[in-house]
Amino acid sequence: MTLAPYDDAAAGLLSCTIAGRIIRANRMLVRWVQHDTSLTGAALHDLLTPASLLFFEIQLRPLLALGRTVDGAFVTLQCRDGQQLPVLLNAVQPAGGDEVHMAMLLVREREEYEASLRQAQHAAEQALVIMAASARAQKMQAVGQMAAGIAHEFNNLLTVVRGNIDFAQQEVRSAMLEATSIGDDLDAALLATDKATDIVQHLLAFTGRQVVTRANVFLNDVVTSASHLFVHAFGRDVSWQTRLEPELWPITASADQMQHVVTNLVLNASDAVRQSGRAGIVMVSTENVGDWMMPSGRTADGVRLVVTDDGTGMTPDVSAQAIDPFFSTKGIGNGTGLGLSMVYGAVSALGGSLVIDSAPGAGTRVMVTLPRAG
Amino acid sequence: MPDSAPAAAALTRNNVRVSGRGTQPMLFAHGFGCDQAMWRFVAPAFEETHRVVRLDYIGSGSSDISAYDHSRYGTLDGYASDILEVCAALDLSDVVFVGHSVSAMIGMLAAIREPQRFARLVLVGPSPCYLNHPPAYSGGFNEDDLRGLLDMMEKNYTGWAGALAPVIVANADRPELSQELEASFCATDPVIAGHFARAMFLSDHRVDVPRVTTPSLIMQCAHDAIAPASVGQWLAQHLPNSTYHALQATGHCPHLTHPAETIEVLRRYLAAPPGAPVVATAA
Repeated sequence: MTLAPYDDAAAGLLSCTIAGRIIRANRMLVRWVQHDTSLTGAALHDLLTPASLLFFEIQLRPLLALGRTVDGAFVTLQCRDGQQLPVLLNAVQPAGGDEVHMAMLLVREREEYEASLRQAQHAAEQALVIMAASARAQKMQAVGQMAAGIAHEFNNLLTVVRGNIDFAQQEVRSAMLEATSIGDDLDAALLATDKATDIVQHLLAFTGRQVVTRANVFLNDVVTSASHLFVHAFGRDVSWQTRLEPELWPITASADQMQHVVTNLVLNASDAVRQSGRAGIVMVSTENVGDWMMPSGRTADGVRLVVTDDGTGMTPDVSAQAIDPFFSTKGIGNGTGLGLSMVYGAVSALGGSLVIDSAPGAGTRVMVTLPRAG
Repeated sequence: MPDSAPAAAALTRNNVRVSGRGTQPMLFAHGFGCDQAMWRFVAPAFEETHRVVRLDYIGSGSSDISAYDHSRYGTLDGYASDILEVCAALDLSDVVFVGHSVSAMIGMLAAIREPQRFARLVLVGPSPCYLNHPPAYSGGFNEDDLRGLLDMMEKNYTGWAGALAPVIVANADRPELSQELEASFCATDPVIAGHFARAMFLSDHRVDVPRVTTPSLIMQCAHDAIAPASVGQWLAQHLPNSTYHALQATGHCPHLTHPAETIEVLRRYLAAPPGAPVVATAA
């Protein structure tokens, strides 16, 4: 029997048994899938792509069997000529019956449009990620330029101040030998200028514009020789462990600067442990990294220094600002906020990378990776 | 006895429901894409003789999605851990585990880890690996088919089709509207479902199969597009202490489409000694 409204409906119509044997299908559907005359007796499975068949069996079949209507599911029909037709499927299995009734609408354009939307969304997400990274790089560059400018001006002024204090001190000493308190005042002023000079050095290191002599350096030696500087500063609640790669590759750097790097990271770590109020551990390890992706995008052999603590950890906010100059968690008077920015500057100037991995309560891990010498 | 706090957490997380008057526990675990509602035609038949336990995997049904852990549920082992934690929380032993589809493999993994808990495994439409590995193994699908499925799921869950977005049930606090609550069956969290599907379809657990020692029943449907007979027969050859039974039921969900035959075969298998064939039923 043919029924014009049924056969020529602008939709594919089909009824099948719950076992998937087709009882009737309208002419429109037959035309879509390019079967010769009729689909009666064919298997529903043969009309669906493998992915659609999987989806139908695991996802739609249970819904139908439990009496729920399938309303606008997306599946793909498999045509005779190998083409695939995307359709929206409505289906129902009337209660107590053993038949499933389906209606399908062709949605090829919509599917393509949807795919292009998804692609656009994906591209936009990628662009956002790249933008955020470049904004961060620009910010660090701007901060670096500013720091370099200030440091330069400051350094000039300090040189003048220090020279004049020196002169004054000598003149005071020779003129009035008994006036020791003035000499003490001047000593204090000198000490303060030296401290200021130190800060300037740190700023210059952050900007990577400090002139340093570089040579082959073994990070293990740096860690070992630096350890006597900080171990006594730890206190009894902080224990200390090293795991050093015995065959560690050398890097090209300044040993002094590397000592600053190690000392800064380890002291930050021990502060974090102390702030947690619990006993904790600071661990320093070194390792060789083959195929390391440098910040420049090239791959090379790298040498990695990892400083891990089980202290307070940082929120993502704090961790994102950790290397900004003058950012400090230690409260006014307890830190310059330059330690980690100095480390970042020194590491960047050497072509290395610094990664901070931290979460509140879960401790912090700082990974510094530097190119292998040679 | 297990610690009560984590125990209670497992019961909430997996929306565990216990019913029945028997003592031997019968744990029903649903397949992918559905929830414990899919046992409604079969499980009640065992309430007279067993302690019937049903659960929802995380992300399905009324499970507690806040307990979701992306890395834990990246493999079927995470789901097996949930089964074992539910068993521990209810202090179950001598369990008859009934798992459909992916749950069959999850049950096998759980039984490998804690064999002392399980008396029997009933595996409905099981498959240890959905991918073809020619020439030795034919799981039924190519990697492209499975990627296509994942793509299709994404379109259906989160795209414009949205046919399977979880149904939001109003008045969930009014028990008199329980009819409407039924509408929530097979509600599935889209992100978790995608991750679950990857764990299920892209994994290969064939090496685990010979490590199962618990007696088991392989219920193989006719014309099962998901777990073809070749997979059931592979399992019968490699799964120790297993009984293979070919159902007359067709499709992948005999407990939904042919509940009477499913119940009958289950009863006969449980009545026979482990390893004995299930006597053919008059279906």
